[in-house]
Amino acid sequence: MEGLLEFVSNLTPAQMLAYFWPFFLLDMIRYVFLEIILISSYFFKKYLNKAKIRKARHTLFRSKPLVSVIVPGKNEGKHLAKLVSALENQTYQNFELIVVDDGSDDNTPYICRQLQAKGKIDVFIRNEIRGGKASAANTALKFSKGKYIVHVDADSHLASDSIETILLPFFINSEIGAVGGDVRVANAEDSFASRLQSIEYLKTITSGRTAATEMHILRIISGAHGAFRCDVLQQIEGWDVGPGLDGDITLKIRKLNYRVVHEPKAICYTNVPVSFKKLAKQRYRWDKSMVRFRMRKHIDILKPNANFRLSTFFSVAENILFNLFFDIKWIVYFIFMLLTSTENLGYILIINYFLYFLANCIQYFVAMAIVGEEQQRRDGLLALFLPLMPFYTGVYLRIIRTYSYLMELLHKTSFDDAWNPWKVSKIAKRENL
Amino acid sequence: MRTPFYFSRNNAASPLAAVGTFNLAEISTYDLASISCFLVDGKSASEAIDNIGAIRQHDNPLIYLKPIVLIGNMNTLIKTVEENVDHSASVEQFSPEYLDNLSASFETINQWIDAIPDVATVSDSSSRFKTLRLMASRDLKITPYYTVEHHNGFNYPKLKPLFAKKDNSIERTLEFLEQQQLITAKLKRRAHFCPHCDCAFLNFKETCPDCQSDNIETDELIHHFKCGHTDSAAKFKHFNKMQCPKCDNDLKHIGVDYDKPSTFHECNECSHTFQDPRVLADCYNCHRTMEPDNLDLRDINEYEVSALGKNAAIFGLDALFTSILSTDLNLYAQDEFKNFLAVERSRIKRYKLSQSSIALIHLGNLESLFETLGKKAEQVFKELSVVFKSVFRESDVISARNESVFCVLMTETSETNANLAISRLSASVDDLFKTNSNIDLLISSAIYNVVEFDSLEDQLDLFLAEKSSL
Repeated sequence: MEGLLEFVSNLTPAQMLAYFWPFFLLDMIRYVFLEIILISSYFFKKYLNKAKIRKARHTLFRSKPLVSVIVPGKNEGKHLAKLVSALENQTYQNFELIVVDDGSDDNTPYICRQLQAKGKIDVFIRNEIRGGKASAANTALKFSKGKYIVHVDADSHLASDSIETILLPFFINSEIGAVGGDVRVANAEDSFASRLQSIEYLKTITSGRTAATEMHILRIISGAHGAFRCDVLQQIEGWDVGPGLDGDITLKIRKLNYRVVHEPKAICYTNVPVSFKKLAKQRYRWDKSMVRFRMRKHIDILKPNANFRLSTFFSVAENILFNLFFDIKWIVYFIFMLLTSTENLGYILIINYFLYFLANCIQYFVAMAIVGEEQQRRDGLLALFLPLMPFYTGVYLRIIRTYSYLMELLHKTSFDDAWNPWKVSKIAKRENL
Repeated sequence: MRTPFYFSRNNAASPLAAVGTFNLAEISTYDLASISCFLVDGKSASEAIDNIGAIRQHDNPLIYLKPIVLIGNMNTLIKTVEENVDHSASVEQFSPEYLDNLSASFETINQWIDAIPDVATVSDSSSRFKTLRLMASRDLKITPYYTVEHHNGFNYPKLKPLFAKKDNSIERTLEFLEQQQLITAKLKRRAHFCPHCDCAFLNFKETCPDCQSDNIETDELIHHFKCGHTDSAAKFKHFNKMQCPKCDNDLKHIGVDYDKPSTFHECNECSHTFQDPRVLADCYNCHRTMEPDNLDLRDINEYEVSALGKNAAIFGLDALFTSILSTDLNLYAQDEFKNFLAVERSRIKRYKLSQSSIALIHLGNLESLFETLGKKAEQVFKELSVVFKSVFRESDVISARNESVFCVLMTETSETNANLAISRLSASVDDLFKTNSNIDLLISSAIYNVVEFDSLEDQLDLFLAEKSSL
């Protein structure tokens, strides 16, 4: 301990920067300073737009457009009663509920037919043959009559004003093509892993996507809760084959020069994996889409002659830079430190840990500022888990991410993912989609 | 020698010179036993039906059981009328030989009629009994005849003239006779009927579950694997080939390029989309629309007279064992028995002071007894009834499901004592038959505590099933 204090006290600012450049030059600037500025901007704009928001709400309830809430999925019957009940309590009620059963092999069809008979589901389509998430979502889109489409995962629980809130941005800015809801963890108390994910979701979704919206570089609308203009979805002709179709559809919308925004007050609670093993599998699937869609399918966005908005370019560039290239920086940094400061490596790692712990605390409190009092009460004790976050994000998630990128870059493993039916994956791989 | 007679209600002259006319108004002037059959003119279908009805609806077994021959031009005879009678023949066919042959062919029936005790004086007013006798006299297998002329879609033409009204009396009668084990049923068809008017002419239609309109269209969904596009099959049709409207690729092979995950319907009235149309049934008779679950699903059977029925047809229903028991032992109807049972069960449960038992008794070979005993059956059954009376007490409640299945509520009797009583019954029955004949009456029984006895029907079915599985 004395050695550590002596090492810290003897550091000059230049040494400090040399030893901890990944933190001071990249992560602190991007995820702490910039985010604080952007979230402040969000609050300021929200204050300025108070009248606009009020007017948008007035227009929404005066025009009462039909909204199609679509729920595609497989074996999701067990969650539907809760979802239906959450929808019944919505402040905005002019919606139709469309459930598409993508070849379930449990009692989902029976549950859905029961709910349909009770008038709780407006349209229920049972696809006997599984076609994958994109096909199910497109089926729902085919039968939707709403002006706006709200995509919801069956295991999501929507806050009572969630549909109303997610629709408001469309009435504030006509350039908006899609709005992402704020996905929060419903089962935080289930396990250690779910508690850490709860903090992660607050940081990356509530705070991170709000900041990304302020920079106009939001790159993903969660499938768990996202709203789309129906005409925009029709222009892009629905969802393409996944996995990673949430990010894919967001980029497709951006390519049409529509704006995509995150609405942190449109709250949706979702169940996250409760074990680290399941979480690793989920993230392995998610992370592969970064390579598959950003670096392959939509690489045209980065071409100099691309005729897209600059923000769309930055959206993908920032994603590739921070998630892919700066992921590698840690390997470079670690090897560099190992070679140049072997005797101080322990101190360097401990100091890095404290720096990132501090950054996590700041990010967490910034997110807390957005979520509101109720959520603050609910998640207040989560702060006790903040000391573990540098290990969770810096080590555990980083290892999965790095492995995932490598596997996708070298072997295109996303095409073999069981998430899609084999017949679909086979064609996607052959056609290099 | 019996001879045919021409039958006409309006006393028209016989078209056949050799055949005399039968005038129903002067019935006493005829020797009815000497009539071999009635000839009915089939020129006019309605008149023929009236004449056949007049014969079959008569009370005298020497009239209503007589064979009927429909005469006329074979090309013009109406099939539905022909089905009502025993035989049909063309006028030109009738020669003295033909008439003799005709009479000879009906001799078996006439002999059967002659065997009826006091046939000259009896009068049968019960349509149930008349039905049984008509069937037994001809050893007739009654087969349903499917027709659009009857609103329930079928009838039993041979029995039809016995009934004046065009309602479901025939089915009810056959059902009763079957319950009494006098006839046996064999399933021919199961059919739906309107629960309001019994009509079988129903139109089953697929309707929109929202507005119940049957103006709906059906289409298939197509999922194109490559781009994930899913739409109705019509949207993929491009001239003579299938092309994806999203990515313009051709769809060539199902299962390789695309699949058809489901079928859906769209209502042209309210635009509702659905996969499970609501099936409704329209009745052509009363014009009501119903859910299929609310329709009457019934068995349409063919029937034959059982051995028991053959005996009862000759010697009368009074000779049946249940009729004898009913007089001697005060046999209760099943519904009344159920009421007694419910009261007794509640009484025992409430006071918990004593026990009561239920005995289910099956007489195994009653039919063969009828066949063997013939006329003597009535006498033997009277003695059997005395045995029953001696074993059971006046406070016991006895009911019969049919001729051979009895339920006895033995009040204030434990299961042990009830077993003793049934053993006594078996022993006495054995003694009775040993002294009277060389055949045995097989008795099987089951005893239950009344408190543990739930549903009479269920327990009876279980008892009979267990017995038959042995």
